[in-house]
Amino acid sequence: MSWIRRTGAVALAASILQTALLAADAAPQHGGTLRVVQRAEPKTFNPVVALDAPSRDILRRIHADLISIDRQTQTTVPALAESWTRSKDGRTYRLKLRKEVRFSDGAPFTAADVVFSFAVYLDEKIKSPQRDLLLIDDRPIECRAIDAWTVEFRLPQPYAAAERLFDSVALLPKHRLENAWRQGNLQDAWSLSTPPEEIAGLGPFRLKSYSPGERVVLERNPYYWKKSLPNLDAIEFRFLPDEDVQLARFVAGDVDILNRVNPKSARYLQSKGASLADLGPGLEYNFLCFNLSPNSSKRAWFENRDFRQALSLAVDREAMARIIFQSRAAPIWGHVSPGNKLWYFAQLPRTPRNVPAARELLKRAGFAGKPMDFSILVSASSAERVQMATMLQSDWKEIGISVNIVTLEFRAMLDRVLNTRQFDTCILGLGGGDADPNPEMNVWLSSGAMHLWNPNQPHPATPWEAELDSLMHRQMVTLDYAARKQAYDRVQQIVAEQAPMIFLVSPHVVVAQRGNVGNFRPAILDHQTLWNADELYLKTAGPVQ
Amino acid sequence: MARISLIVIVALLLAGPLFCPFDPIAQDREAASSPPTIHHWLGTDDYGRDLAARFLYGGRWSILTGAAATLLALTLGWIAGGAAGFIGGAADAIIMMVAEWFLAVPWLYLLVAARAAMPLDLSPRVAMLAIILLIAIVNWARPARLVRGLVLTLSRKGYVEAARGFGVPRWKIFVRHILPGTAGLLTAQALLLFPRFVLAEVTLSFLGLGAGEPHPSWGALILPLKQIYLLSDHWWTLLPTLLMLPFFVATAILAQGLEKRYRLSR
Repeated sequence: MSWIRRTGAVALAASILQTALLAADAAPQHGGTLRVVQRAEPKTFNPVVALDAPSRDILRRIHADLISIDRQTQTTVPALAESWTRSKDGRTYRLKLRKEVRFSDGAPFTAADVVFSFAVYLDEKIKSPQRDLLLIDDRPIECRAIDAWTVEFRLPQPYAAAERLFDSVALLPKHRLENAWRQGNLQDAWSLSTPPEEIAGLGPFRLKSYSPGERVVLERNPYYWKKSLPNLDAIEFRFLPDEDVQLARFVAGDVDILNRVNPKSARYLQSKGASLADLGPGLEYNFLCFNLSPNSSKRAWFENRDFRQALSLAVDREAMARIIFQSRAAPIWGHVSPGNKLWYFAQLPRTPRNVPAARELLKRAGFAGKPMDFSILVSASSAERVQMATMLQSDWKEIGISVNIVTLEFRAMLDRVLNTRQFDTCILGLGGGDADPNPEMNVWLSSGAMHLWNPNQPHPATPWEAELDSLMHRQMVTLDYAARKQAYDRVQQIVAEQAPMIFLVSPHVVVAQRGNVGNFRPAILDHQTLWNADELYLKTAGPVQ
Repeated sequence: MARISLIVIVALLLAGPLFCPFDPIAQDREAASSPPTIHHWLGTDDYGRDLAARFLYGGRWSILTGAAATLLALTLGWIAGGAAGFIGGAADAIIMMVAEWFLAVPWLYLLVAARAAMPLDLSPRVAMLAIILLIAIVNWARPARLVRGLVLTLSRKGYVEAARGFGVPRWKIFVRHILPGTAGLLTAQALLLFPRFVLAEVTLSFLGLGAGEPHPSWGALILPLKQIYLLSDHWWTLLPTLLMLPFFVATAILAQGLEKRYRLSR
């Protein structure tokens, strides 16, 4: 129970600190440049093809969407659509656009830009990563303009939480990109070498400069639709690939905000006087996944449910949270973290570590006395996940299972997991995006490419996977939250009982600032600290010297 | 002094595990991240593993790997260099051309690339053998070139010419009169290469290409030190690294001395 007390103490201290940070925000000041860091450089300034997090983190400050998800309440709020209505059958949405809105180059924004944007995202030739999110049951949504300030979206079937689809879908300036689209080279538009003045958006900032290997600078958009915002004159994204270098630069005063702080670094930062906010468990869940594909060399063992459950019983999740995350993580037994207020299933059994029971289960399943060994594939760049693998290795040694840890570069690891399927088990993390279950359809549907234990199944391989398919479809088309929740609770229960993945921990979201940033309201949803970049401001004097 | 230090350090590393009460792999999670105590002389790591035990066992692993790789690299170099120098002609040209290829590529990069290309799913023992083999294969060229040069020099010595004049068979001249002359060079090379190969094993472990967790090695002990908070929060994790320094300093001094003496004697 000690971890619960410690976690509680940390959460309490964090909430006091957060209250103190928020209480300090009285009258926002204008001006100044906010300095933030990124691990990698953007690969493009084109929001249609941007796939990597560094590009998207920058582009979200340059562009705006119709409806946003408020990162703090996790609910939808109007953005460029000031209101919307839904038809009785749940298939038609009519959105009223804000008038007098202009792109950052001064051109007016109308319904034609919305229709153009969705036509581009849904264009099969472009292969935009957003396209999959705009397909419902493999059929695209339809968009048409009713008048200059009204657009209508027709869904192929009722879709729960359809408003959430619009979040982060950047609206594009038709007058700038239509020619490129008609000529079939929109993918190449707005590359890193494009002059900044050619890139226009509806977000609070616009591109000012890009220095390869060094930084991207965004400047205030004078046409931003929220009057008198943004408060900042500029945001500077510096590229520092090494986390320790980021820490050193932050401590030296070269950086104002650190978006995600490694729990182990938190104490170090506190000792240096930084303002930390521990927001409690985020949406990310870390897990060990078995390879249950037909070509898996250890399939005979892994497809035995008792074997998987025995392994789960032998895992010391509390020790993982305490040792790896300094108690800034929650042990988990299901895939929805306690940080997900709307979808967390509190009744899911949380069985503590029980080595004798695990041994008994293995014995009952006929594994007693058999030499058992397999490997855990883990990304070398994630120190925490390598540590998880080391702790699992020690935990499972106690029940007679020998484990080899294989560390690989992240992309090489993903290639093995998603394409070649040459692995026994792997440790991964998912769930950093939206709180809603729908973005994870491809994880839980047996036909999904991200159904990690056995992806792309033509037909569900097991009865429980067939039930998962049916429940996920049901929750997707049900508009009533309570009915959706009931279906999704059952999904969580089946996954926990069948244990194709062993859920381990959900790390807390910890962010840091130097104490000089006002309106700082970090959230557990991505992007944790810059989601309200338009409201952030720099105080004239920060407490950290 | 350096010689005595090295003997003491190697003896300690080889015999140390015998009197160290802790298993370097066993996790005592209740004692995780403990500073040095009467029981844990160097403290414990994140998982509660005794750092002194990990230093001693890890040192033994690194030193045995380095020693075995040195022996193998010198043997390969000796055979190749001896053959090139003594046979001459096309054999000499081919062997030296291959040696130059190996010398042209920075050996550490080549080693890392070769290890990364191998399967990573190896048991610690197989990984150790693979590393020994790789270090030797990547590093045979330098001793081979030196041995070849020495063999060519020795072949022109008066006593070798005399033996040839008396009709002594070529192989006998090689074994009796030339090979013994390479002993000094090989000893100096061994002392030069040994710490470098220990360091190579440490580097591979540091990069995650060594024996892997939970096996102790010096590289794995250095690995956490790249995290900035460790020096302020877990200062004792630096102790094993500090204890490695005398080994490398002693071997470097000894190697320098031997090389100097060998050059003077020539």
